[in-house]
Amino acid sequence: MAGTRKILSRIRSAKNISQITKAMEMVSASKMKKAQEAALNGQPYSIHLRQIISSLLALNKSVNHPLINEVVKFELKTNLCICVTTNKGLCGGLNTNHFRMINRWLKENPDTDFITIGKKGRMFLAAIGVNIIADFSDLPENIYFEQTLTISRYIQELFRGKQYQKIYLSFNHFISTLAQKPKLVQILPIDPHSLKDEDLGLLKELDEEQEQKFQTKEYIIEPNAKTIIHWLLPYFVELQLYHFLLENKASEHSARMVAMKNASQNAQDVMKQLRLVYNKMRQQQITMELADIITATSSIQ
Amino acid sequence: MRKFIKLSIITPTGTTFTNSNVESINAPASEGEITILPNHTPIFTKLNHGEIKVKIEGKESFFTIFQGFLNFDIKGNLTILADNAQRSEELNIEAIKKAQEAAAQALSEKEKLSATEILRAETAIRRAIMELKIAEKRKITH
Repeated sequence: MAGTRKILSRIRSAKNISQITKAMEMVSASKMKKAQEAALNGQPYSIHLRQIISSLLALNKSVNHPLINEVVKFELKTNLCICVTTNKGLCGGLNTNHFRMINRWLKENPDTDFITIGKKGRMFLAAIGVNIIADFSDLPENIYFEQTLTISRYIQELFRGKQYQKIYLSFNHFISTLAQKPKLVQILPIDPHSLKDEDLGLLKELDEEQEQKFQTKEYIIEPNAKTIIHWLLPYFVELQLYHFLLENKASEHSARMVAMKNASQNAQDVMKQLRLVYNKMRQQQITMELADIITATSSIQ
Repeated sequence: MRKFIKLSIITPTGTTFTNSNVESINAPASEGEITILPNHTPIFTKLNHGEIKVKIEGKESFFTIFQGFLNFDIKGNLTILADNAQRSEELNIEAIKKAQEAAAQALSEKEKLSATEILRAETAIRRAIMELKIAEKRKITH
């Protein structure tokens, strides 16, 4: 009976695994709900802020701000990329896809320094040997806006200090529970055109017509455009970073939930197959024993 | 001629209020209090902390906002973006006082805190003071 015992123990371990993954699925599902809510609830705010900034900038082309300055006065080649990943694994291909994108991007922009948010990204980037200037992996599970200020102020300082030509952020864009897509966006300098980036799914409604009216009609701006722009742009950078972090969290938990669901399903399948093999073996044995008995009795007669 | 304003009050944590039949809005703009009627010129302004008065079908409702701005566009959409917004009658004096105390407590041990934590606590105190003022006022008028 050595064979059947082995199979029984394999069934047991598959069952244990399925219990663990089931529990993890449940945990992720509840975290996912919260994270998705946070990410989606913030979207209208973000959309309106973008709308306002893009129309303000369109109205006041003369206003200059260090964060929108597209003219690079210094010979700068270095870029900075903030790589937002998860702290933990077991979330399917989420990080792998992200790293593939970064690898591709690095081929075109080899002169890039990194800031990492998330242990997985830190490990990956350290392994491929790029320059990591800072790491903010110790953000808590529930992110507050204020906690992200340290990071966003730091990058603004770096940018104003003319240390980098462009600052990007790579993260996992949340599309739905089943779909997440790694994405790389430029956060500094603020590109007025990219504010209308439809790909981000944020600004579909802003039509050209409205934009034109914005420009021609008189628009009261209090206290004045310059003050407002100077006040809004840093805030915008801060808010954007915060939203991307939230979105990444939503992606992470969604991906993990789906991965765990698949794992539970697989464990169930394995159990089913093993059970079948076990039953076959058991029946075979019974048949053999029966045959034995029958041959034994018939030989006595 | 427009008869109504389409109002939405939005915070980073969600949409607090939307209504497309608003008759007038009174808000504490940075340059002084303003009232916006349906045919107001497009305006964009920073808002001070305080209370917004919204008039719908002759009835007034009040919202307490903290840090934000107001945008009234050509189409008659009025958007108020605020860090925090809630109905004034939902303000809970005890909860506010508690929040204020917690923040003050945190600030009393300043050396233990990081810069962001200090910022957070200070903002909390300022918000609590403002909310308390409004909550007290509400209590008298109602």
